[in-house]
Amino acid sequence: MLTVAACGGGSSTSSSGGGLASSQVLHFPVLQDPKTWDPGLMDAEVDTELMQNVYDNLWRFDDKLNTIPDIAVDVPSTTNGEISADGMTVTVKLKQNVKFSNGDPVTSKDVLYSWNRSVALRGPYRSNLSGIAGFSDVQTAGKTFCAKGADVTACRTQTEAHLASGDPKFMMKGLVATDPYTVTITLSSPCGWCIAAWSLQGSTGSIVDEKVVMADPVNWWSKPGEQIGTGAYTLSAYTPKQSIVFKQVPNWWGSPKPTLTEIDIDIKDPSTQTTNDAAWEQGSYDLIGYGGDSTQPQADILRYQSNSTFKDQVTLVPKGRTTWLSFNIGYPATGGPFVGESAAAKGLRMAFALAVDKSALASTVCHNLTCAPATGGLITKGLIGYGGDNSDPLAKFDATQAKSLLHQFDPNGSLTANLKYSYNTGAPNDAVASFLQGQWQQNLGINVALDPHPDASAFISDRLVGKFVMSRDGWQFDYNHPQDWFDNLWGSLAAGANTSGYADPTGDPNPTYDSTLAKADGEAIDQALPLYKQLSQQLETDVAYIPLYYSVGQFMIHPYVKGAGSNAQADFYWDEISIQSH
Amino acid sequence: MATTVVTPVPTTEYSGGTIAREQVSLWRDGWRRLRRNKLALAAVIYLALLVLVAIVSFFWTPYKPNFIGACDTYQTPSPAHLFGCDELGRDSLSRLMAGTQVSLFEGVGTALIVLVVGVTVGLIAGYFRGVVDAIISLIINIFYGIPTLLVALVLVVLLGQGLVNIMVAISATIWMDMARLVRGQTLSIREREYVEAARASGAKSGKILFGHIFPNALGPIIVQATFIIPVAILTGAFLSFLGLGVPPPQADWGGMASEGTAAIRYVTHIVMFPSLALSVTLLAFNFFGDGLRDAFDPRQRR
Amino acid sequence: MTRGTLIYIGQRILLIIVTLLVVSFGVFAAVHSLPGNAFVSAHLHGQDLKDLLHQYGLDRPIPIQYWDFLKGAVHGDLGTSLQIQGEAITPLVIRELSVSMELGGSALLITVGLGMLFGVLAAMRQNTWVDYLLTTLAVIGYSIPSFVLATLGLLVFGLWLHDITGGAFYYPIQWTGTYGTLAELSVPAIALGLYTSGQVTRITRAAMLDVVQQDYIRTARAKGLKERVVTLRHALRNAMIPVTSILGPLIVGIIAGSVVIENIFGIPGLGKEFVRSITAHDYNVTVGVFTIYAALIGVANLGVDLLYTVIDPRIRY
Repeated sequence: MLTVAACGGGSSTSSSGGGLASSQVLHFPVLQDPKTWDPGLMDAEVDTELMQNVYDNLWRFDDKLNTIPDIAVDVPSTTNGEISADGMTVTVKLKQNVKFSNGDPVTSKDVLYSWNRSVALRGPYRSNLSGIAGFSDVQTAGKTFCAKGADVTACRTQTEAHLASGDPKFMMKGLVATDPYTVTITLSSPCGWCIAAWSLQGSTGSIVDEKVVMADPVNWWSKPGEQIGTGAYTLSAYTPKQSIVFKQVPNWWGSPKPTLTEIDIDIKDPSTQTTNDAAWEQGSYDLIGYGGDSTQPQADILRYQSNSTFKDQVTLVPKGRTTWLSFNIGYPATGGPFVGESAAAKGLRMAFALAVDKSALASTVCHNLTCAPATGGLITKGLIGYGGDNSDPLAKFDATQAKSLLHQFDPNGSLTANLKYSYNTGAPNDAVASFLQGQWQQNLGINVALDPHPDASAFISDRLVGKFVMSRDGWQFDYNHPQDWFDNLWGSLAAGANTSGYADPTGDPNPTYDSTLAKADGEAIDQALPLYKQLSQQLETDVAYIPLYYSVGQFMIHPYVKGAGSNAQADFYWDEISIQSH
Repeated sequence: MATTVVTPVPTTEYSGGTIAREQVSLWRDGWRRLRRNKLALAAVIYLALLVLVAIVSFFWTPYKPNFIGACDTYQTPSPAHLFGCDELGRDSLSRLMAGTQVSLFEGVGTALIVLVVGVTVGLIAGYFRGVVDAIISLIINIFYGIPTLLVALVLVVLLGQGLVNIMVAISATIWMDMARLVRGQTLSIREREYVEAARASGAKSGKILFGHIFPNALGPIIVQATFIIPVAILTGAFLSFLGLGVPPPQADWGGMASEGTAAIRYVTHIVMFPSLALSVTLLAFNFFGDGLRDAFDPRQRR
Repeated sequence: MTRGTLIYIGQRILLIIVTLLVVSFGVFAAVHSLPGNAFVSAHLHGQDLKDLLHQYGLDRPIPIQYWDFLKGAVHGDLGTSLQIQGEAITPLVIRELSVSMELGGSALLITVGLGMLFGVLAAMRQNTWVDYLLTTLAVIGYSIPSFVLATLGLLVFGLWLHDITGGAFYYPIQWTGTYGTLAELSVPAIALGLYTSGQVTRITRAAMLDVVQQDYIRTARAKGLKERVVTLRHALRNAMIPVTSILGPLIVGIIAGSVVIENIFGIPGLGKEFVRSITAHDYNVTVGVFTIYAALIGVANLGVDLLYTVIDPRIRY
């Protein structure tokens, strides 16, 4: 720590002199404690960002978000014959030299164990594996020992015991180990998005070691020496609320070999961001932005932009996160003027959408640094399925048109009186809320009350059951496939957050959405794209949301840190980073 | 000291009201003494101005306090925007003016709640004594045993972030001093001859409490209430600073200071003005309270 | 120790226990009735969420859950964190308590030391400019919110001085380890301690003036002892009593202030933990921290009362 501070020192002449530094230790802060590092249960971004360096999947995403082999030998496709012509069977060949950090070799049995376990644990991302035949049986079986309640340890221990003993009720029938290095996967229906979902780092598709999990089913992931994966790094020390240390795995199986020997992470509180940044300037931290901490205080970024030393050390990276406003469309009980697909409801939704100047939002609230106006549909720019700049009619700003729609459908203003915009507090949501309030006031003459929720958890649970008439909504993509957006967010069968109740059978039935989606999900990406595009257009025609902005992440990286950075999804892997002498 | 379990607290001990004398001369004397105290007088003038600003801000501010885009974001003070602008391009002076409302409401509103609750509880405990007093004293002592700001935090999260809820939450943490003060006063006043006489002539308890005892304890009660105002404003600012103040976009000083802290390295005016306003206002209330106490209780004066 | 004192101590301990029970149940019921929970995410809702709450027993009636909590708590086990899943709470909060005590203890030293020094000086120079200056400073001291002082300290020591000296002056703006070094501790402790020191100044000054006018001081003076010795030996000892009497409330004040200060400086103490745990719905942590604070205040108040009897032998319970 002190040595880093001494050579960083805030001096303006720190340049990468070439050649590796003698100390290959990377030091940065994160803003949260781990919730869990068990791949079967992981959810938080801070956890997956770290754990992608500890666990591997059969495939992973490279820096440009392409799917590439990791533990598997190839990426299956119909071309290479690893996906059958009917699209129902996937054959996976495993590399034969893969080892866990404790030396145990990885075979097809480990894949079966890890994936069945992920489904049986019923974690938040288990639907990534839902394409496999027998998924729902194991999912149901996973409840067996947890029905009694109030005893997590018993529930977890017994489930693990049955998994380990090979109880057929806990084995997906579509998952078969043909030989020690071949896994044959039978799907319940053709699946265009499955390989992408199975590749998601630090998640349900990650491979874990049965031996270590069984030894301590509940807490194995939190202890150095017990947290075993196949990645290049492994946990070396963890002090809750304070620090995490990862060390390079000796004689790691993969290539190229990693350079960093140690990763020192300080666990900081979100309220300390400004001082974290100052500590980075003064050389205590090598970089800021890793581990899900990619939104910096705007004033700091503005200051760096006007500072000759730091200007080039700030990288802006579009993150795959879209924020929009959800209307209550499908929950008549909650009410509001936007319910249903009548001309009036649609017209009023359109009026509210057109009344918001999205470019002004990005320049005022984000200074065009931390976000960009969402003009190309729900899916963020740079991802598969992006609609193209200015393609979304809901992203337009037209105060005149908005006003005339309002006069047409709510001439005396009674429908749009007493509206509330609900959101969870924090930056930049407070600012966005104030901005929206101002826009509607200015362009429609409507006073919308603000309904802030300091408790994000309570806000989300209320939002998911359709309690708000207008609410802040958003999605950060998991894997680069349109299915991740359309399946999780909208439609009757939404696996994720169908906040608006759009296409909900209890509200206004919209069967075309569901059937188009089902068809698209079964196709390979080339055939599926036009169908997904159709869904985008349907959402746009129905005015299902108001697009607000795409998030942009900020990474501050000292020039001597080579290979660090991020794509729209995740940080670049630690094994790509090296510290140059400086 | 062996009778009741009492935690020592920093209430100033009052003797005002123990000497029977005409109410009118008490007030007149007090006012005369207050006017001679230059610091207190300055404080009174400042506070009067503050009230004026709060009232004016309901009808007029240089710009609309919540209007985004009144000027460039983070703009430093200029003739058009005397106190500069905040991170959303809102005029800081206008927001500072509007924030006066919140601070004054929080301070005065809390003092009123505490006044009502504390006086009622204190009168009851002191007048009825016995079991009633024992139970009330136990409750008071339990409240003294818990960390105040933490209670306020839990209550605000539980009740929600409205102005009234915040006042209730703050009141719950500071009502005990008032209750204890009134209880003590009541215990001593109820033994006086004229109270005895009223009781003997068959007056109802309510009449005795509010007709005889309360007016005689009024001096110290008012002084105590004055000291509650700055404590309430400060606690309110703490809550706002932690993100649990009045809901946005309403401007309040603690919240503005908190926003300014995030930009502290870029511009300092955003954090400076609300911090200054808060400090000077608290100072004024404290000077005023001191002056008031000296005025109503000359024996404390040195 | 007299029998009366023992009975008194017994009463006080009983009061502490009652307080802890009432407070812990109150907070337990309050945080459990908040909407939301520790698990909710965009990927976990509906029946899944209900199942998970059931697994953790969070769907049971609050009194039953409280009883479970209480059974563990009396054995010193506050359960496991929901936020850091599976992490035992007790060792965590004990470590955080010790961090908070380092900060709070330093602040208390500053409060009492500075406050009494100013109080004594003001009383000795009664009605001179020194007196006016110090008493005015005292009022200013408790009129400036501690977060304003903290921000100012951060700005001046952490940033400006560093920039002005081109990096030569280095104030560690963040605690790097569990406990703060003297340098790391200085600014937060002063920001925290100054606020309460004003009250100590006033009380010391008033008490000193009371004592100075008493007979035995006059006697001491008449005997020809130097004024300073008189002040220190007699007056100060007697002035200790009112200062001791407000120690309890001072500690409450410092605890309140530390919640904000720990958040500003990122100090890994109990105050920061408390704020985090409420918003994260980490129920047992919230209740645990609250109860620890209440116990701390109760014990401190009892200690203060016993300290009385040492300082002032006339006091008997």
